[in-house]
Amino acid sequence: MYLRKITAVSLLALSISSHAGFVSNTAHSRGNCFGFNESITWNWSEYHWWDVHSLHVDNIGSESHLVRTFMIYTWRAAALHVKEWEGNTGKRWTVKGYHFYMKNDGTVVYDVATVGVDCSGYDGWWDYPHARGE
Amino acid sequence: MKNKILLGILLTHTAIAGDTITIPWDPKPLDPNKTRGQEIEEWNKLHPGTTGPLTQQEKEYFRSQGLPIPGDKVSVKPLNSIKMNDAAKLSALNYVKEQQTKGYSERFSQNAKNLSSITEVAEKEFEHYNAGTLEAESTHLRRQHFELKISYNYKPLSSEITQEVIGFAPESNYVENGWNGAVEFFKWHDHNSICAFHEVNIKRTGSSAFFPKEIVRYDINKKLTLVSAEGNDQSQYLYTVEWWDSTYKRILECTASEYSNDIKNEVLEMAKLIDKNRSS
Repeated sequence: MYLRKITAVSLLALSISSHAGFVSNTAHSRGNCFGFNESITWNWSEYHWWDVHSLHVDNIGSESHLVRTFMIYTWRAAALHVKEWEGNTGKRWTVKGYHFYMKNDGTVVYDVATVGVDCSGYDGWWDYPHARGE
Repeated sequence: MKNKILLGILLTHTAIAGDTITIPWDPKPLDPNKTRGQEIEEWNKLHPGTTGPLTQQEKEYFRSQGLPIPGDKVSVKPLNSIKMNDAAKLSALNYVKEQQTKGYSERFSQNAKNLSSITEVAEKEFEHYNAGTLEAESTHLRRQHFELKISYNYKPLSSEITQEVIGFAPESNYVENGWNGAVEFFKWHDHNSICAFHEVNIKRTGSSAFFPKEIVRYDINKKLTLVSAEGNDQSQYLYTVEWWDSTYKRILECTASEYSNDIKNEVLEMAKLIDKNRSS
């Protein structure tokens, strides 16, 4: 199952990177989206060891939690919580992502923090066809 | 002991979903008159793109996980003392040993292959995206550095280094006044090579790191420096020089069809020149 998932992702990454150009590491968080909260590190061109910690704090504080990917070798590390959004939970969420990576030589880096309180985000993997004008 | 108790509590109250793990969190704000969510949002409005102050609870959590604490200074420590799973540790130890004995790690380097094909990627990017039509937040490649909105005073490399510029892409995260980093791609004709120069303003991002002492050098203006190479004949070889100071993390990567100590030294000299030009 795990291998199948890796293969599928590899094929997707290869097919996209062969004609796409997201060529560096970027990170973002989005909160109160339609159906999810998330923090993601991604690079369509390359695989990296990434570990994303996404702190999801609700405006009451009773159901706050932290979603973690652990260190995984991937093109997209998503600390994603589906079915968690204002319309579903009745709560407003603040999402803060802490993005880490590890190099082949064992260096562990805290890279950057991202904050999301709405669904706005920059041109990313989710709207690739739209960004190409398709 | 305290950390072990914290970790024990976290693990016993943890739910695993898909490839992620969810940990219940009772947020303790810095200011008892606010919620942690308010604090995070207020800080983000005033200082977008920066890490911001962590609570003691958050610091304890990252410390318990063996990770660098966001916003802290970098540390140099023995590789064996850096927390990672057994497979990752074995891989890192082998990688370091190869660097020390052979000068490079013999493996297929996807990053070398990708960088060596950046010219073709750029042609397709430029077909789809004309100059001036991209939003500031777009992660796509630009022909010119001034087409990128950067949050600090970013300078492209001088023409004495970049024999032929391919393009520029944003890096790190986007904040309202621009990106916190950028990468410049260029051709290095001496070795029929493609290079990428990455720069991230870590004063803005609050980046921190644990560096294995076995690989740390201070070649570039006495700054913390890492020099490595990896690859094989199928993927090409990737030479990497990374150096950190209190404001920037910079990485120079160059491809070549072969491995040699001479090329590695040339890339290191290029990195020294880059740093000298950007410091002056």
